[in-house]
Amino acid sequence: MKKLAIVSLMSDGGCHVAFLDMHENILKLLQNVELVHSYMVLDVKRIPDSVDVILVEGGVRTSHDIEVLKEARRKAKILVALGSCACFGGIPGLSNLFDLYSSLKYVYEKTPTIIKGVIPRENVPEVVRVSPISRYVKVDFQIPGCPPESKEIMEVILSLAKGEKLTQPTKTVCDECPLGPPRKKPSRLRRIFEPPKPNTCLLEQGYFCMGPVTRAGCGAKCPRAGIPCDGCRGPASKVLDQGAAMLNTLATIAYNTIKDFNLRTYSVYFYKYSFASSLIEDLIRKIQGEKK
Amino acid sequence: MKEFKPLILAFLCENSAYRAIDVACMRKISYLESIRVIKVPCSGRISSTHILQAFSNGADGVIIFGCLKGGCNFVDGNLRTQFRVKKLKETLDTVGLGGDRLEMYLVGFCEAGKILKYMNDFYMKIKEIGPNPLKSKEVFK
Repeated sequence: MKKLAIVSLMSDGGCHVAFLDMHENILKLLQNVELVHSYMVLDVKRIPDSVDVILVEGGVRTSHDIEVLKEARRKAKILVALGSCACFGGIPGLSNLFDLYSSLKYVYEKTPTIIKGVIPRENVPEVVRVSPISRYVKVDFQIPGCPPESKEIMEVILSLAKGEKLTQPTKTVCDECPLGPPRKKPSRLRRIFEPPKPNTCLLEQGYFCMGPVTRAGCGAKCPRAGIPCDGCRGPASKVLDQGAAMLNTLATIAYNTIKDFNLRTYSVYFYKYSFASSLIEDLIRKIQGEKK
Repeated sequence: MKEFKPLILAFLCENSAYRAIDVACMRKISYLESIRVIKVPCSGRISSTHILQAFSNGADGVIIFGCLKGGCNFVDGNLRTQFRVKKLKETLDTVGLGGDRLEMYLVGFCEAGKILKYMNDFYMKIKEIGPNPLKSKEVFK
Protein backbone atom coordinates (compact mmCIF):
# COMPACT_ATOMS: atom_id res chain seq x y z
CA MET A 1 0.00 0.00 0.00
CA LYS A 2 1.46 3.34 -1.04
CA LYS A 3 1.37 6.23 1.42
CA LEU A 4 -0.12 9.60 0.46
CA ALA A 5 0.15 12.93 2.32
CA ILE A 6 -1.16 16.42 1.61
CA VAL A 7 0.88 19.35 2.93
CA SER A 8 -0.55 22.84 3.04
CA LEU A 9 1.48 26.07 2.74
CA MET A 10 0.13 29.56 1.89
CA SER A 11 -3.33 28.62 0.62
CA ASP A 12 -7.04 28.86 1.26
CA GLY A 13 -7.60 25.10 1.29
CA GLY A 14 -9.49 25.11 -2.00
CA CYS A 15 -7.23 22.50 -3.57
CA HIS A 16 -7.76 20.31 -0.51
CA VAL A 17 -11.52 20.61 -1.00
CA ALA A 18 -11.05 19.79 -4.70
CA PHE A 19 -9.26 16.60 -3.60
CA LEU A 20 -12.16 15.65 -1.29
CA ASP A 21 -14.62 16.57 -4.05
CA MET A 22 -14.14 13.14 -5.66
CA HIS A 23 -17.20 11.87 -3.74
CA GLU A 24 -17.50 8.07 -3.89
CA ASN A 25 -14.36 7.80 -6.03
CA ILE A 26 -12.36 8.46 -2.87
CA LEU A 27 -13.24 4.90 -1.74
CA LYS A 28 -11.73 3.56 -4.96
CA LEU A 29 -8.65 5.69 -4.29
CA LEU A 30 -8.29 4.47 -0.70
CA GLN A 31 -8.18 0.85 -1.87
CA ASN A 32 -4.87 1.68 -3.56
CA VAL A 33 -3.29 4.33 -1.33
CA GLU A 34 -3.25 5.13 2.38
CA LEU A 35 -3.76 8.74 3.48
CA VAL A 36 -1.28 9.46 6.29
CA HIS A 37 -1.26 13.26 6.65
CA SER A 38 -3.96 15.78 5.78
CA TYR A 39 -5.06 18.62 8.03
CA MET A 40 -8.67 18.54 6.86
CA VAL A 41 -9.37 14.83 7.24
CA LEU A 42 -6.88 13.43 9.76
CA ASP A 43 -5.58 14.62 13.10
CA VAL A 44 -1.88 14.04 12.40
CA LYS A 45 0.30 16.99 13.35
CA ARG A 46 3.63 16.02 11.78
CA ILE A 47 4.47 14.60 8.37
CA PRO A 48 5.37 10.91 8.89
CA ASP A 49 8.76 9.67 7.68
CA SER A 50 9.12 8.17 4.19
CA VAL A 51 5.90 8.95 2.34
CA ASP A 52 5.55 7.78 -1.26
CA VAL A 53 3.61 10.70 -2.73
CA ILE A 54 3.26 14.16 -1.16
CA LEU A 55 0.90 16.70 -2.67
CA VAL A 56 1.91 20.27 -1.78
CA GLU A 57 -0.88 22.80 -1.81
CA GLY A 58 -0.14 26.55 -1.87
CA GLY A 59 2.87 28.72 -2.61
CA VAL A 60 5.64 30.07 -0.40
CA ARG A 61 4.98 33.26 1.61
CA THR A 62 6.83 32.94 4.93
CA SER A 63 10.03 31.35 6.23
CA HIS A 64 7.81 28.77 7.96
CA ASP A 65 6.53 27.67 4.55
CA ILE A 66 10.10 27.14 3.34
CA GLU A 67 10.88 24.93 6.35
CA VAL A 68 7.76 22.79 5.90
CA LEU A 69 8.41 22.51 2.18
CA LYS A 70 12.00 21.34 2.67
CA GLU A 71 10.85 18.81 5.26
CA ALA A 72 8.25 17.51 2.81
CA ARG A 73 10.89 17.18 0.09
CA ARG A 74 13.17 15.21 2.44
CA LYS A 75 10.41 12.78 3.37
CA ALA A 76 8.80 12.33 -0.05
CA LYS A 77 9.77 10.02 -2.87
CA ILE A 78 7.55 11.94 -5.30
CA LEU A 79 6.60 15.59 -4.70
CA VAL A 80 3.61 16.92 -6.64
CA ALA A 81 2.61 20.59 -6.81
CA LEU A 82 -1.18 20.80 -6.45
CA GLY A 83 -2.98 23.90 -7.70
CA SER A 84 -1.91 27.15 -9.31
CA CYS A 85 -0.37 28.66 -6.16
CA ALA A 86 2.09 25.79 -5.82
CA CYS A 87 2.82 25.67 -9.55
CA PHE A 88 3.09 29.37 -10.49
CA GLY A 89 2.51 31.47 -7.35
CA GLY A 90 -1.19 32.04 -8.00
CA ILE A 91 -3.27 35.11 -7.26
CA PRO A 92 -1.24 36.02 -4.10
CA GLY A 93 1.71 36.42 -6.48
CA LEU A 94 0.20 39.69 -7.69
CA SER A 95 1.27 41.24 -4.36
CA ASN A 96 4.83 41.07 -5.72
CA LEU A 97 3.91 44.12 -7.81
CA PHE A 98 4.25 46.17 -4.61
CA ASP A 99 7.15 46.11 -2.20
CA LEU A 100 6.85 44.01 0.93
CA TYR A 101 6.75 46.80 3.50
CA SER A 102 4.03 48.83 1.76
CA SER A 103 1.77 45.79 1.40
CA LEU A 104 2.24 44.86 5.09
CA LYS A 105 1.52 48.46 6.05
CA TYR A 106 -1.64 48.46 3.96
CA VAL A 107 -2.93 45.18 5.39
CA TYR A 108 -2.24 45.93 9.06
CA GLU A 109 -2.56 49.73 9.27
CA LYS A 110 -4.41 51.32 6.38
CA THR A 111 -7.33 48.98 5.65
CA PRO A 112 -10.56 50.99 6.27
CA THR A 113 -11.88 48.60 8.95
CA ILE A 114 -8.75 48.86 11.14
CA ILE A 115 -8.31 51.28 14.03
CA LYS A 116 -4.80 51.82 15.42
CA GLY A 117 -3.31 48.75 13.76
CA VAL A 118 0.29 47.63 14.26
CA ILE A 119 2.40 45.37 12.06
CA PRO A 120 3.12 42.24 14.17
CA ARG A 121 6.86 41.78 14.66
CA GLU A 122 7.31 39.37 17.62
CA ASN A 123 7.12 35.56 17.36
CA VAL A 124 5.98 35.58 13.71
CA PRO A 125 7.83 33.96 10.80
CA GLU A 126 9.57 36.29 8.38
CA VAL A 127 7.54 37.29 5.32
CA VAL A 128 9.22 36.78 1.93
CA ARG A 129 8.17 37.49 -1.66
CA VAL A 130 5.52 35.08 -2.95
CA SER A 131 7.05 32.34 -5.08
CA PRO A 132 6.10 28.96 -6.53
CA ILE A 133 7.52 25.95 -4.68
CA SER A 134 9.78 25.12 -7.64
CA ARG A 135 12.05 28.03 -6.65
CA TYR A 136 13.09 26.14 -3.51
CA VAL A 137 12.78 22.41 -4.18
CA LYS A 138 12.64 20.01 -7.11
CA VAL A 139 9.07 19.28 -8.21
CA ASP A 140 8.31 16.00 -9.94
CA PHE A 141 4.89 16.77 -11.35
CA GLN A 142 2.45 19.67 -11.52
CA ILE A 143 -1.35 19.59 -11.30
CA PRO A 144 -2.33 23.17 -12.19
CA GLY A 145 -5.79 24.71 -11.96
CA CYS A 146 -7.65 26.98 -9.59
CA PRO A 147 -9.01 24.69 -8.23
CA PRO A 148 -7.60 21.59 -10.00
CA GLU A 149 -10.01 19.07 -11.51
CA SER A 150 -10.86 16.32 -9.00
CA LYS A 151 -10.81 13.70 -11.75
CA GLU A 152 -7.31 14.75 -12.77
CA ILE A 153 -6.03 14.58 -9.18
CA MET A 154 -7.37 11.04 -8.83
CA GLU A 155 -5.86 9.89 -12.13
CA VAL A 156 -2.48 11.38 -11.24
CA ILE A 157 -2.41 9.77 -7.78
CA LEU A 158 -3.47 6.36 -9.11
CA SER A 159 -0.90 6.33 -11.89
CA LEU A 160 1.86 7.58 -9.56
CA ALA A 161 0.97 4.79 -7.12
CA LYS A 162 1.28 2.25 -9.94
CA GLY A 163 4.61 3.76 -10.98
CA GLU A 164 3.54 4.94 -14.44
CA LYS A 165 5.11 7.88 -16.26
CA LEU A 166 2.99 11.00 -16.64
CA THR A 167 2.94 13.71 -19.31
CA GLN A 168 1.39 17.16 -19.38
CA PRO A 169 -1.10 18.11 -22.13
CA THR A 170 0.63 20.07 -24.91
CA LYS A 171 -2.43 21.81 -26.40
CA THR A 172 -3.99 25.13 -25.44
CA VAL A 173 -7.49 25.96 -24.19
CA CYS A 174 -8.36 27.30 -27.69
CA ASP A 175 -7.87 23.78 -29.10
CA GLU A 176 -10.59 22.47 -26.77
CA CYS A 177 -12.91 25.46 -27.07
CA PRO A 178 -15.97 24.98 -29.31
CA LEU A 179 -16.25 28.72 -30.06
CA GLY A 180 -13.33 28.40 -32.46
CA PRO A 181 -10.34 30.61 -33.22
CA PRO A 182 -10.88 34.38 -33.77
CA ARG A 183 -11.77 35.14 -37.38
CA LYS A 184 -11.63 38.94 -37.33
CA LYS A 185 -10.00 41.67 -35.26
CA PRO A 186 -11.88 43.07 -32.23
CA SER A 187 -13.18 46.60 -32.71
CA ARG A 188 -12.96 47.65 -29.04
CA LEU A 189 -12.30 46.28 -25.59
CA ARG A 190 -15.16 44.89 -23.51
CA ARG A 191 -15.43 44.20 -19.79
CA ILE A 192 -16.94 41.05 -18.29
CA PHE A 193 -20.21 42.71 -17.23
CA GLU A 194 -21.23 43.32 -20.87
CA PRO A 195 -23.07 40.18 -22.03
CA PRO A 196 -21.27 38.34 -24.86
CA LYS A 197 -22.81 37.12 -28.12
CA PRO A 198 -23.41 33.34 -28.19
CA ASN A 199 -21.33 31.03 -30.42
CA THR A 200 -18.70 33.67 -31.20
CA CYS A 201 -15.08 33.66 -30.10
CA LEU A 202 -14.70 35.86 -27.02
CA LEU A 203 -11.34 37.26 -28.16
CA GLU A 204 -12.96 38.30 -31.44
CA GLN A 205 -15.61 40.23 -29.49
CA GLY A 206 -12.95 42.08 -27.50
CA TYR A 207 -12.83 40.25 -24.15
CA PHE A 208 -9.49 39.38 -22.55
CA CYS A 209 -9.60 35.63 -23.08
CA MET A 210 -6.32 33.95 -22.13
CA GLY A 211 -7.18 30.79 -24.11
CA PRO A 212 -4.40 31.06 -26.75
CA VAL A 213 -1.58 30.85 -24.17
CA THR A 214 -3.09 28.64 -21.44
CA ARG A 215 -2.50 24.93 -21.01
CA ALA A 216 -5.39 22.63 -21.96
CA GLY A 217 -6.97 19.97 -19.76
CA CYS A 218 -9.99 21.70 -18.28
CA GLY A 219 -12.22 21.19 -21.33
CA ALA A 220 -12.61 24.97 -21.85
CA LYS A 221 -15.25 25.21 -19.13
CA CYS A 222 -15.28 29.00 -18.81
CA PRO A 223 -15.49 29.99 -22.52
CA ARG A 224 -18.31 27.43 -22.95
CA ALA A 225 -20.26 29.33 -20.28
CA GLY A 226 -19.54 32.71 -21.88
CA ILE A 227 -16.85 33.77 -19.42
CA PRO A 228 -13.37 34.60 -20.76
CA CYS A 229 -10.57 32.25 -19.72
CA ASP A 230 -8.36 33.82 -17.05
CA GLY A 231 -5.45 31.44 -17.47
CA CYS A 232 -5.62 29.47 -14.22
CA ARG A 233 -3.84 26.46 -15.70
CA GLY A 234 -0.69 28.41 -16.41
CA PRO A 235 1.43 28.77 -19.55
CA ALA A 236 1.08 26.18 -22.31
CA SER A 237 3.97 23.83 -22.99
CA LYS A 238 6.04 26.00 -25.36
CA VAL A 239 5.11 29.33 -23.75
CA LEU A 240 7.86 30.79 -21.57
CA ASP A 241 5.92 33.63 -19.98
CA GLN A 242 2.13 33.70 -20.05
CA GLY A 243 1.60 37.46 -19.89
CA ALA A 244 4.27 38.34 -22.44
CA ALA A 245 2.86 35.74 -24.82
CA MET A 246 -0.62 37.22 -24.39
CA LEU A 247 0.77 40.70 -25.04
CA ASN A 248 2.18 39.36 -28.32
CA THR A 249 -1.18 37.88 -29.22
CA LEU A 250 -2.99 41.12 -28.47
CA ALA A 251 -0.39 43.15 -30.37
CA THR A 252 -1.08 40.89 -33.34
CA ILE A 253 -4.86 41.17 -33.38
CA ALA A 254 -5.58 44.52 -31.73
CA TYR A 255 -2.57 46.84 -31.85
CA ASN A 256 -4.69 49.79 -33.01
CA THR A 257 -7.67 49.35 -30.68
CA ILE A 258 -5.92 49.02 -27.30
CA LYS A 259 -4.62 52.30 -25.99
CA ASP A 260 -4.07 52.84 -22.28
CA PHE A 261 -2.37 50.14 -20.21
CA ASN A 262 0.56 49.76 -17.93
CA LEU A 263 1.96 46.88 -15.89
CA ARG A 264 -0.29 47.52 -12.90
CA THR A 265 -3.52 47.51 -14.88
CA TYR A 266 -2.85 44.71 -17.29
CA SER A 267 -1.08 42.42 -14.85
CA VAL A 268 -4.47 41.49 -13.40
CA TYR A 269 -5.60 40.23 -16.79
CA PHE A 270 -2.36 38.86 -18.17
CA TYR A 271 -0.60 37.56 -15.07
CA LYS A 272 -3.55 36.70 -12.82
CA TYR A 273 -2.01 33.37 -11.76
CA SER A 274 1.55 33.34 -13.07
CA PHE A 275 3.10 36.66 -12.02
CA ALA A 276 5.34 35.06 -9.38
CA SER A 277 6.97 32.83 -12.00
CA SER A 278 7.14 35.35 -14.88
CA LEU A 279 10.19 36.87 -16.58
CA ILE A 280 9.30 40.28 -15.12
CA GLU A 281 9.40 38.82 -11.60
CA ASP A 282 12.85 37.41 -12.39
CA LEU A 283 13.97 40.89 -13.49
CA ILE A 284 12.61 42.47 -10.27
CA ARG A 285 14.30 39.82 -8.10
CA LYS A 286 17.64 40.24 -9.85
CA ILE A 287 17.52 44.05 -9.55
CA GLN A 288 16.59 43.94 -5.85
CA GLY A 289 19.25 41.33 -5.13
CA GLU A 290 21.81 43.59 -6.79
CA LYS A 291 20.83 46.54 -4.58
CA LYS A 292 21.37 44.55 -1.38
CA MET B 1 38.92 50.11 -14.05
CA LYS B 2 38.26 49.91 -17.74
CA GLU B 3 35.88 52.20 -19.55
CA PHE B 4 32.29 50.94 -19.67
CA LYS B 5 31.41 49.67 -23.14
CA PRO B 6 27.68 49.07 -23.49
CA LEU B 7 26.62 45.78 -25.04
CA ILE B 8 23.76 46.52 -27.41
CA LEU B 9 21.57 44.04 -29.20
CA ALA B 10 20.18 45.29 -32.52
CA PHE B 11 17.36 43.56 -34.36
CA LEU B 12 17.33 44.59 -38.01
CA CYS B 13 14.51 43.89 -40.44
CA GLU B 14 15.77 41.97 -43.46
CA ASN B 15 13.88 44.17 -45.92
CA SER B 16 14.98 47.62 -44.81
CA ALA B 17 17.60 48.22 -42.15
CA TYR B 18 19.68 45.08 -42.68
CA ARG B 19 19.86 45.73 -46.41
CA ALA B 20 20.91 49.32 -45.81
CA ILE B 21 23.63 48.32 -43.35
CA ASP B 22 24.79 45.60 -45.77
CA VAL B 23 25.26 48.10 -48.61
CA ALA B 24 26.97 50.56 -46.28
CA CYS B 25 29.41 47.92 -45.09
CA MET B 26 30.26 47.00 -48.68
CA ARG B 27 31.40 50.60 -49.05
CA LYS B 28 33.62 50.07 -45.99
CA ILE B 29 31.56 52.26 -43.68
CA SER B 30 31.88 50.70 -40.23
CA TYR B 31 29.58 50.71 -37.21
CA LEU B 32 30.37 50.37 -33.53
CA GLU B 33 31.79 47.00 -32.50
CA SER B 34 29.70 46.63 -29.36
CA ILE B 35 26.45 46.60 -31.33
CA ARG B 36 25.54 43.00 -32.08
CA VAL B 37 23.29 42.74 -35.12
CA ILE B 38 20.63 40.06 -35.53
CA LYS B 39 18.81 39.73 -38.84
CA VAL B 40 15.08 38.99 -38.59
CA PRO B 41 12.68 38.26 -41.46
CA CYS B 42 10.34 41.01 -40.28
CA SER B 43 10.37 43.27 -37.24
CA GLY B 44 7.02 41.69 -36.33
CA ARG B 45 8.93 38.49 -35.51
CA ILE B 46 10.39 40.05 -32.37
CA SER B 47 8.17 39.13 -29.43
CA SER B 48 8.12 40.67 -25.98
CA THR B 49 9.65 37.45 -24.62
CA HIS B 50 12.77 37.96 -26.78
CA ILE B 51 13.26 41.49 -25.46
CA LEU B 52 12.72 40.53 -21.81
CA GLN B 53 15.14 37.62 -22.15
CA ALA B 54 17.78 39.88 -23.70
CA PHE B 55 17.65 42.14 -20.64
CA SER B 56 17.54 39.18 -18.29
CA ASN B 57 20.74 37.81 -19.85
CA GLY B 58 22.58 41.11 -19.46
CA ALA B 59 22.12 43.28 -22.57
CA ASP B 60 22.57 46.99 -21.76
CA GLY B 61 20.21 48.09 -24.49
CA VAL B 62 18.01 46.71 -27.23
CA ILE B 63 17.41 48.65 -30.44
CA ILE B 64 14.98 47.56 -33.13
CA PHE B 65 14.75 48.76 -36.74
CA GLY B 66 11.63 48.15 -38.81
CA CYS B 67 10.31 49.30 -42.15
CA LEU B 68 8.56 52.62 -42.63
CA LYS B 69 4.86 52.86 -41.81
CA GLY B 70 2.92 51.29 -44.66
CA GLY B 71 6.05 49.75 -46.13
CA CYS B 72 6.11 46.45 -44.26
CA ASN B 73 6.35 43.39 -46.49
CA PHE B 74 3.88 41.60 -44.23
CA VAL B 75 1.31 44.44 -44.03
CA ASP B 76 1.59 45.51 -40.35
CA GLY B 77 4.46 43.65 -38.65
CA ASN B 78 6.31 46.86 -37.82
CA LEU B 79 3.25 48.43 -36.18
CA ARG B 80 2.66 45.32 -34.06
CA THR B 81 6.19 45.43 -32.72
CA GLN B 82 5.86 49.17 -32.14
CA PHE B 83 2.87 48.40 -29.89
CA ARG B 84 4.83 45.75 -27.99
CA VAL B 85 7.80 48.07 -27.54
CA LYS B 86 5.55 50.87 -26.27
CA LYS B 87 4.01 48.59 -23.63
CA LEU B 88 7.34 47.03 -22.67
CA LYS B 89 8.92 50.47 -22.18
CA GLU B 90 6.24 51.22 -19.55
CA THR B 91 6.84 47.79 -18.00
CA LEU B 92 10.61 48.31 -17.80
CA ASP B 93 10.02 51.70 -16.17
CA THR B 94 7.83 50.06 -13.51
CA VAL B 95 10.30 47.25 -12.93
CA GLY B 96 13.17 49.68 -12.41
CA LEU B 97 15.37 48.93 -15.41
CA GLY B 98 14.39 52.09 -17.29
CA GLY B 99 12.39 52.19 -20.49
CA ASP B 100 15.15 54.22 -22.18
CA ARG B 101 17.13 51.03 -22.66
CA LEU B 102 14.68 49.94 -25.34
CA GLU B 103 14.14 51.87 -28.57
CA MET B 104 12.49 51.24 -31.92
CA TYR B 105 12.90 53.22 -35.13
CA LEU B 106 11.16 52.94 -38.47
CA VAL B 107 13.58 53.46 -41.38
CA GLY B 108 13.61 53.00 -45.14
CA PHE B 109 16.00 50.68 -46.98
CA CYS B 110 18.17 53.48 -48.44
CA GLU B 111 18.75 55.37 -45.18
CA ALA B 112 22.04 53.84 -44.02
CA GLY B 113 23.35 57.17 -42.70
CA LYS B 114 20.26 57.65 -40.60
CA ILE B 115 20.54 54.14 -39.13
CA LEU B 116 24.19 54.64 -38.20
CA LYS B 117 23.32 57.98 -36.59
CA TYR B 118 20.51 56.38 -34.56
CA MET B 119 22.88 53.61 -33.47
CA ASN B 120 25.55 56.11 -32.38
CA ASP B 121 23.05 58.24 -30.49
CA PHE B 122 21.64 55.17 -28.75
CA TYR B 123 25.16 54.02 -27.84
CA MET B 124 25.96 57.39 -26.26
CA LYS B 125 22.63 57.39 -24.39
CA ILE B 126 23.22 53.94 -22.91
CA LYS B 127 26.73 54.98 -21.94
CA GLU B 128 25.22 57.82 -19.95
CA ILE B 129 22.58 55.61 -18.27
CA GLY B 130 25.18 53.04 -17.19
CA PRO B 131 25.39 49.24 -17.22
CA ASN B 132 22.44 46.90 -16.86
CA PRO B 133 22.06 46.07 -13.14
CA LEU B 134 21.31 42.45 -14.01
CA LYS B 135 24.68 41.82 -15.57
CA SER B 136 27.08 39.93 -13.34
CA LYS B 137 30.15 41.95 -12.47
CA GLU B 138 32.70 39.63 -14.06
CA VAL B 139 31.39 40.27 -17.54
CA PHE B 140 32.48 43.89 -17.93
CA LYS B 141 35.64 43.92 -15.80
